[in-house]
Amino acid sequence: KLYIKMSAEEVANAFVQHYYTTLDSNPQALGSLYQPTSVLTFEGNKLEGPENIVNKITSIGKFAHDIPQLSKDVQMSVSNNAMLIFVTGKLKLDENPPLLFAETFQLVATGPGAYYVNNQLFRLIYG
Amino acid sequence: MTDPKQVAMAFVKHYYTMFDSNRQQLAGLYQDASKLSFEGQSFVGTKNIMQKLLTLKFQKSKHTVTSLDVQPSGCGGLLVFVAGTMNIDGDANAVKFSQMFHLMPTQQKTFWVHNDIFRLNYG
Repeated sequence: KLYIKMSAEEVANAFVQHYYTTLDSNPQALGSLYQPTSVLTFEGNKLEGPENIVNKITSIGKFAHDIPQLSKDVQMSVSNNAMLIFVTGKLKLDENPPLLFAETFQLVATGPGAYYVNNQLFRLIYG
Repeated sequence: MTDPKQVAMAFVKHYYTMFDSNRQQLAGLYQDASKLSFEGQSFVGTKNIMQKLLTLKFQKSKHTVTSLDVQPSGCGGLLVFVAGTMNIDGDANAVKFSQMFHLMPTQQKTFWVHNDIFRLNYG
């Protein structure tokens, strides 16, 4: 049985592509990325668990992220099964002019190649 | 741990005050396992991190924090997410930045920076 191990950068790139594509096209499907202990801080509001998190995200409006232009920085967290991903870039929300945003994720592995979002923090960058 | 938000606010204030007044002092906040990503460049360990922070292309900086969010990181640490502006070398135009710290506690009940990721935010 051949097992191919992805590097942290490959995992992060795949995650970012998947997350923002899904957020933009089918946000209801994001629930599977979270577990009951997952926490999202969205513009200072704290939500816990897949249902609360997805309810929040889908209540904001229709997102469109400029995915190819996103900056993505990856670092391993304290243990080898967790990584931090820091994303910045532009998004459109409904028909409003583009906005800058920054977002932090901590992904935790439950098995080879299987990650969930344990921590997520999102801020729009104004001014 | 006392209120994570209070801890994070105190740390961030301390960090940017040192950064803006005596950058060399930041060395005490990093350890061999610390990682910095600065505008996409990666550095590991106090020596390499400080070399980067002490050779940045500006002399003077003044950080202003616009927002600060904190979450326990699940391994005893804190994830601290900052957005703000910086005035560089006295320029009237401030630049926007965002930064993430993953702080871990020391035995002396202070914190050191395990992960540090910094990005300027361009319009």
